[in-house]
Amino acid sequence: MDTALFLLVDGLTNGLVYALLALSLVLTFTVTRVVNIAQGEYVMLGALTLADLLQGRFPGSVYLLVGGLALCVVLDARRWRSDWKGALLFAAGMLLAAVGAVALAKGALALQLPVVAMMLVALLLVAPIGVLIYRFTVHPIPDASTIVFVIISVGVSMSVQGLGLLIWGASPYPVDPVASGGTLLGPVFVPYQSFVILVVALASMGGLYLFSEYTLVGKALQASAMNRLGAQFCGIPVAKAGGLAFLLAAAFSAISGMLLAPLITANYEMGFMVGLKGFVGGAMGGLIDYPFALLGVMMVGGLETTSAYLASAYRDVLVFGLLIPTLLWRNARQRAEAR
Amino acid sequence: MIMRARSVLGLCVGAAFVAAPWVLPSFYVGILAFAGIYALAAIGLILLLQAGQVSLGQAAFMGIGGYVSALVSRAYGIDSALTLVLAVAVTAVIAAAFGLMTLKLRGHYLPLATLAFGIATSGVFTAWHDVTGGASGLDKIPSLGLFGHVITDDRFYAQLIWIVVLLAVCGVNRLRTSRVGRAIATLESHDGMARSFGVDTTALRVKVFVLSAVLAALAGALYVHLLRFVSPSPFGLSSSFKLLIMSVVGGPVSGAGAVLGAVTLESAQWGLQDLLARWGASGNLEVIVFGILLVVMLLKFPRGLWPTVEKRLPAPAARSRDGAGLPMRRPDTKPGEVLLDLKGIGIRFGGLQALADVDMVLRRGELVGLIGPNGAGKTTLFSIISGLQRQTSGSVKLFGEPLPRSHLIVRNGMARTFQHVQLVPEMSVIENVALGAYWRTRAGFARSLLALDASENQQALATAQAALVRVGLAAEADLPAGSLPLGKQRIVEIARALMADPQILLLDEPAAGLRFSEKLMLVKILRQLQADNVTILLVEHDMELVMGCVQRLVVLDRGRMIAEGTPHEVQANPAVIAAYLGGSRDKAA
Repeated sequence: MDTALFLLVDGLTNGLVYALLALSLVLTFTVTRVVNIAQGEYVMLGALTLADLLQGRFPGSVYLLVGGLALCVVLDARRWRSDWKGALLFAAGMLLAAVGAVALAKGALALQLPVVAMMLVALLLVAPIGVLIYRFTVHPIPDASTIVFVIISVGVSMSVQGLGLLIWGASPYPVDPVASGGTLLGPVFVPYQSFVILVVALASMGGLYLFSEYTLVGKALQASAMNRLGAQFCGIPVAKAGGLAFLLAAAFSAISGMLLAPLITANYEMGFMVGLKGFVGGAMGGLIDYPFALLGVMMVGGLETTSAYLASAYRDVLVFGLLIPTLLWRNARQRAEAR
Repeated sequence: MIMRARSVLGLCVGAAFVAAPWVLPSFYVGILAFAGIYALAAIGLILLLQAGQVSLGQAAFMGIGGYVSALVSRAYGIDSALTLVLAVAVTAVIAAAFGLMTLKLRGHYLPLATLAFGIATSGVFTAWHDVTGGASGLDKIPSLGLFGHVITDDRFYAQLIWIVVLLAVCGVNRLRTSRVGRAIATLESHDGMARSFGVDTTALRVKVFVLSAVLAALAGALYVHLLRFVSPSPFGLSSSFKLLIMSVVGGPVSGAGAVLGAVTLESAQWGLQDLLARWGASGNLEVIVFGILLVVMLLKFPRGLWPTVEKRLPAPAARSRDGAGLPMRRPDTKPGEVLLDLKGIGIRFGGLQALADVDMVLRRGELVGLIGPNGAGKTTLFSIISGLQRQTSGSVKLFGEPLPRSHLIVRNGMARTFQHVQLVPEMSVIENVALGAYWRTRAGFARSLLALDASENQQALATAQAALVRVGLAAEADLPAGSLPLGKQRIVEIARALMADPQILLLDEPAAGLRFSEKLMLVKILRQLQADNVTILLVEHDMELVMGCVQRLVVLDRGRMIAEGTPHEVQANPAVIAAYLGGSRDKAA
C-alpha cells in the first residue's frame, strides 16, 4: 500500500513535469502545425543553463543565443540594398539583445542571485532561442506539410543536441533542488521539491490560461490556432503569432527542464527521451486538447514509475506497449462522440 | 517496341548501381550495400506516405525480420535464403495484426501507435536476453546462402541488394499507375469517395501497411546476414527516424525518391565524417552539421529532391490507352421498375433530427430532382442513400435488396458525384476518371507489382478516355486534376461516376460553380444519359436547370418531405413557396 502511494506521488511528480512539455507541444502545434520533435532540447537547455548559473559558470546557452542573433543579421543581409536604414536598425537591435544577454548572465553570476531568481535568468536566456529557431526553420516555409516540419525539427534536435555536447561535454551536471528535504504526508515521504514542481507547474498552466483568455495577444494566439486563414483576414499577423507560440513553448519547456534537473541528472542528451514522453502525452489529446494532454502525461508518468518498480528491464516496453490500447480506447471514444 | 528516353536512362542508372560494387574500393562497397538496405526499407515508407500514413516504427519491422532470420538460421542451420522468406512471412503476419488493430486510428494516433510499437519492440530485443542476446547482440550469424552455397563476397552481396532495390523501385512505380495505386492515392483524404467507388479502404490500408512492413523485413534480414551480427541498436527509434528522413528528403512521390534519399543521406553522413576527421574536428561536429544540412535541404526542397530531379528528365511513357474499353453491364431493363425505395428515413445527430419520415422511390429511366432550401437535409439523404451514413430509422432498398456496405453499393449499379469535389488533385484527370472503374477491374497488388495488369489497365484507360470524350474533356486528360477550374472538375466527377457503369447516378449539386457554357454542357450530358436509360437522382440549387430537365421533383424542408410531383405541380405548391420565400414557415414553426 505504501509502495503504491509512493509510486503514485512519484508518478504524478514526473507527470507534472511532462505536462509542461506537453503544453508547449500542443501550443506549438495548434498555432503553427509543427509537431516539434525538438521541444525536448529546450528542456536540456533550461536544465544545463540553470546548472551553470548555480555553479558559477558562464552559461553556455548565451553562445547559442548570440550565435542565433548573428545568424538573423546574416539572413537579413539582402535588405541592406533596398532599405539600409531598416536593416541597420535591425542589426543594432540584435546587437543590443546580444549585449543584453551577456550582461544579464554576467550580472546574475556576479550578484550570486538566489535559486528562484537564477531560474528566471535562465528562462530569459533560453526562451528567445525558441523564436530564433522559428525564424530559421518555420518562417521561410509556412505552408509546408506536417511531415516536412517533423523532419526539420528532427534536424534541429540533432544540431542542438550536438551543440549541447560541444558546449557542455558529455558529463552530467547535478542541480540542487529549490527546496531540499521533505515531509511525511500520512505514510508517504514527499520531498519538498515535489511541492515546488506542483506549484510552479500549476502557476505556469494558470498563467497560460489567463494570458490566452484575458489578453488581446492571447486571444490573437487562440484565433491563429483555430483558423489561420480566418485570423489572417482579421488582421492578426499569423507569422508573429507563430513566433510567440515558439517563445512560450520554449519557456514552458525550459521551466520543465529546471524542475526536472534535480530529479534526474542533467546532461546534453536528456532532452530527446523527455521530449518523446511529452509528445506521447500530448498526442493522447490529439495534440489539440489541453485537458486530455494533461491526463495523458499523468498516465505516462504513472505507468513509467510503476513499471520501473515492477520490471525495470521492461520499463519502456510496458510504458509504450500499454499506450496502444489506450490509443484505441481514445479513438473509439472520439468516434462515438463524432456520431 | 520503341524504348522511351526515360526508360533508357532508367536502365543505365540501374545498371550503374548494379555494376558499382565491382568497381568501387571495398570501403565504399559497404556504404553502398547499407544505402541499398535503407533504400529498400524507405521504399516501404514511401508507399505508406502515399497512402497518407506516417510510421515511426519502420525500423522495428526491419528488426523483426532481421532477428527472425538471424535466430532461426543460427539455431537450426537452415539456409538463410529460406529463413529470409520465413522472416518476411512472420513480419507480414505481425504487421497485419498490428494494422488491423491500429489503422482505424486517425490523425496523430497512427504515428504515435507505431512509435510506441517501435520502442516497445526494440525494448523487447534488449530485454529478452536469453533469446536475443540482449544489448550486446549475437554473432556467428550465417551469411546469405541457398542449398549450401553461401555468399562470401561482399561485392556480390551488394550487387544482390541493389538488384532487389531496383526491382522494388520498378514495382512501386508500376503500382502507382495501376488500379491499386489509384485507389491508394485516395486514402489520404478521400475515404468516403473511395468507398463509394468500391474500394474497401480498411482492407487496402492494411495491405499497404503489410507491404511496407514486408519491404522493411526484407531489408532487415539482408542487413543481419550482411553484417553476420545482430543487435538491437540498428533497429531502434533513431533508425526509424533515419528512414523517415530519407523518404521525405528523397521525395515521397516515387520509389526513386527513396533511393535518392538513402544515397544522399548516407553519402552526406560518411562524407562529413571523412571530411571533418581530415580537418581534425571533434566527432560530434558531424551531427551538428548533418542536422543543419537536413534543415537547409528541406527548406530548399520541401517536396523532396526527386521532384526537382524529375523535372529535368524526359517525360515518362504514358501507359497505353488504345483499344477496346471494358465490357458494359447489360441489365434486363423493365421500364418503370422500382430501383431505389426509401421508407420512413430518419436520422438524428445528437439533439438534431436532420431527417424524418422521408419516403421516396426512384424508377428505372427517371430523372428526379431533389430540391430544398439550405439545411433541408438533401446532402444527408444522399449520404444515406450511398451508404456513407446510416439512418437511425427507416429502410433503404436498392434493387429490392437492403443496402449493402458502402463499398459494395457501386457493384450493384449505383454511383455518385460529390458536392465538394473529391478528386485527387496531384493525379492526372484520366487517372482520376479511371478510378471509377475500380470495381469493374480486378488486378490486385501482385499483378500490378509484377506488371501483369497491362491489358486490363489498357482497357480501363481506354474506357476513361472514352468517358472524357463523352463529356468533352479529352484535351485535359493528362493535366493534374487540381489544375482544372472548378466547373471542369465537376464534369470530371461525372465522367468518373459514368466509369462505374451505373444504372443509377446520384448527382450532388453538379451545376454549383459552373459557368453558363458549362451548364449547357451539363444539360447535354444529362439528356444523353437519359437517352441511354440511366436513372438519375439530382440535387441542385439552380432552379432553371432543374425545372428544365427533370420529370419529377421531391422537395425537402427542415428534414421533411413537403412536396412531390412534376415541376409544374411543385412550382404551384404553397408549402414549397413558403419554404423558399419564408412566408408561413415561421408561423408553422
